[in-house]
Amino acid sequence: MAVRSILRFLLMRLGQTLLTLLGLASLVFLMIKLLPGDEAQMAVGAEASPEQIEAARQRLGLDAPVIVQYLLFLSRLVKGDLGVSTSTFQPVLNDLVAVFPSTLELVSFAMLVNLAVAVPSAIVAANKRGGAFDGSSRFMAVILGGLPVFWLALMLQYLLGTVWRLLPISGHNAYGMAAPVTTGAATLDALLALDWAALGDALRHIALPAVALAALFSTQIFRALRASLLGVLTSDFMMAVRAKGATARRVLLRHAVPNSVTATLALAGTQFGAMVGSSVLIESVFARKGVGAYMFNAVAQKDSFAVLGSVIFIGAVVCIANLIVDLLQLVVDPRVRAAQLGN
Amino acid sequence: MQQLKSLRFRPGRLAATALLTVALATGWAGGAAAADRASTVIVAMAGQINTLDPMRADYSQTNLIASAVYDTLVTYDAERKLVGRLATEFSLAPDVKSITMTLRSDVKFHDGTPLTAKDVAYTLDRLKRLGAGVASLIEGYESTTVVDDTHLTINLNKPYSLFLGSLSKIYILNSALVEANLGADDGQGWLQGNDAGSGPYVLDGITAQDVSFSRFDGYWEQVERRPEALVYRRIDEGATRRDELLAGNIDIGLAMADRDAAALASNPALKVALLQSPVQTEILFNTRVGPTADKRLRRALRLVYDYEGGLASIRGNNGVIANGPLPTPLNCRPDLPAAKRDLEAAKAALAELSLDGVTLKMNFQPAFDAQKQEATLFQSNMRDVGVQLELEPIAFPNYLASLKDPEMIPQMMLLEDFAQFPDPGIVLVKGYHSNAIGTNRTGYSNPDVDALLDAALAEPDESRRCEIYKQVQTILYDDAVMIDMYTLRKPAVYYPEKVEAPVASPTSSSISLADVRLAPKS
Repeated sequence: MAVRSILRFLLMRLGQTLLTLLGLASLVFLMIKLLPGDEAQMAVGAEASPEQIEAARQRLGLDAPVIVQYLLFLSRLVKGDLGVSTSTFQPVLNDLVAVFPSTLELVSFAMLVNLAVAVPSAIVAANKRGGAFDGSSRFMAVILGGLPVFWLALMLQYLLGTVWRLLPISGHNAYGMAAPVTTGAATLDALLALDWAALGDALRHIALPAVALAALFSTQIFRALRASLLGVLTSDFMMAVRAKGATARRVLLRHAVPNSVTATLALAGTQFGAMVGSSVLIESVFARKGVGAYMFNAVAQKDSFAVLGSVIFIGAVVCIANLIVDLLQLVVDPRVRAAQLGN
Repeated sequence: MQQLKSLRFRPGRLAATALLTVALATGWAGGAAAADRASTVIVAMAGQINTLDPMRADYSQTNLIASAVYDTLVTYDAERKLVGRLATEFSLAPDVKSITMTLRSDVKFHDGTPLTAKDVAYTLDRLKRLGAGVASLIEGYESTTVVDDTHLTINLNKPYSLFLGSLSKIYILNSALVEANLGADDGQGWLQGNDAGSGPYVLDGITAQDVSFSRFDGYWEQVERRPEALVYRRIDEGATRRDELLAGNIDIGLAMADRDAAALASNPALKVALLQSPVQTEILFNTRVGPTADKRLRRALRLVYDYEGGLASIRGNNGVIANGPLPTPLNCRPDLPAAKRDLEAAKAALAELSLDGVTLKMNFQPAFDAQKQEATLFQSNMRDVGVQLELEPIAFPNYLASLKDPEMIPQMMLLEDFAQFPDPGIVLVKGYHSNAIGTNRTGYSNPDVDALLDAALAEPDESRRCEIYKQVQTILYDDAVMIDMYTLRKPAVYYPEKVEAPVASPTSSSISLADVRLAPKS
């Protein structure tokens, strides 16, 4: 029964995901077509003659009515073909597979920093409500929450990288330190090659970008979890737990935190998608290759298939991240299980 | 469900793991040493490298890479005179419809295959087939007749005197290698990340941050102090390029912001080289429709801009005030007066025109800080003469699309423009011939200029062409087709202890990687 419920839940979520991606693809396709600028001209260059532009238009199928182009795009999409980029001449999927590991690496580390800072801080702050740590951490959350990501990234880079020379300024590796490329994520590649020096170097290179990307998001997690914990810690059932003689540590970590974490998990899932979006700024400041920069360039070049492919790819990743969060919520919260699975 | 319950959330463990990771990230590997790179030169520039296919050498980044990996048949020397590279001899037929050429016999591609006339024919035929990128430069190309391995004739279907110069942007491909990796797209996909060249450097690889090359020891032209290895690093943010330079992680920083170059100039370890590239900042008028179709208005507006103030405050004096429609490094320029602000004359000229209540509009690209400032300065200057100027940002693809129809061309457009190669003809023919739809950015149409440009295209003699180009520029100046602001000198910052001063490539807005040299040992 439980397995059938989970399968039904997964199928329903999969259907929702596919519908979401279809809607997203259709919307972006329409937006690209509405934007001024000639895709055929951008494909052949600024100096191309009208004849060369027309030849490119026919070659790329841009002379067909928009609805035909849309249907062709969808028919390729269902086969997993995102088309060929008009600026890199590569299948868009190949391009994305080449750049996405780097973004995923950055976002994963940023998420790790985010949770590593925000969760313990929120737990301590909520547990000592009104204390010095609570006050100072809330103050910090307000400050960090108000800092533009771009500015913070530049400041961290300048102070920690340029002035104090504690961490590298930009890039993925120091010269001569890169492990052979297997996945495109420098840390993972170093790990797979069992190259510890390269791993350390890659970790040092990702530290600043990850911290800069995580800063804003960690304030959101901190606030959400702290508020949720305060609500749980003052609820009636906590009195019963304490009356049973549970230690303060057990009350907090075994009862309060698990009962408070559902909303935080949902927020973290949403943040994952937002982090992918924000990564373009961080990648630019820290000169890192990534899907954000790829999409930015595709928009500038009016490279329709690359834009569409990037949006669908990122959309799929965000949907998967949300699905994982939904499943985690099922694991950690019996109330969600009861609501979603009906038992 | 019981199993699910056993998977409990452990915030403590998660936090510990995360903290350990952060600790590792920030503290570990302090002893890791970077490889010795004394003989490697790292060059940083902004911008995405879409492809390494030299067909797209119209992109600055692709051209930079191609200049290291590939060779051209001809190039331009420091005096902007056309000279041979792979070609030892070349001549334009008297009817300007064919070019005969003799190639070097000692050139090998990186895989050891000799470079022959067949490769030249293949490269040109491929460009004609694909019609993209630098294919726009070989207008009129018909075919190549291969006489033998080192002799060939390029046939054109119309007189086109610019063809020889255009060959300075055409990088010759290893035909056998491209044919073996043709795919369904005429090798575009393969060449995007692979090397089919005969240039001084072999492509080693492309990583997340670098494109790296090693010196090709079988190269036909052996020169001293060519670095053993080159690395091209993409760093988009100017501040990051500046800081990486200061940290010594890059040796040459290209396309540096003028303010960063000024700040770095005070560092004794660094030097600033101002590249004399044919890049000009200008405000192009729509000469066909709207108020700017009136030559008198265009001439008056040319007197309004604060050239000296703009060059000093926005460009850090890295340039020279323009004196004509073409950038100053180009040859065949007539002796025209330098642009000058004269508000009284502008007011007097404007008073003769009924401009009451008219608001003019200028487009600019907001992605470029300097251009944004120049647009704002011009708006302020216009207010000084009582003219309202509306500024409207425009993305480059939208601007290009507007050029198809003179009715759609922006009334005024602020732009940085550069010559693909240093022949005045390429700028004048593409920019001002009435048939040049899509590249004629002012909608300019003048039968006299068309006739002169057609005559230049059919003229085999260089000095006579030069005279024609001077006549055209004088007409364009009199017609005030644009506000010629200044020819820019783009700063490149480098370590003089490590490398020689970078010099501008004649065929790009930056340098040629093939020209990078290590500094002489003291």
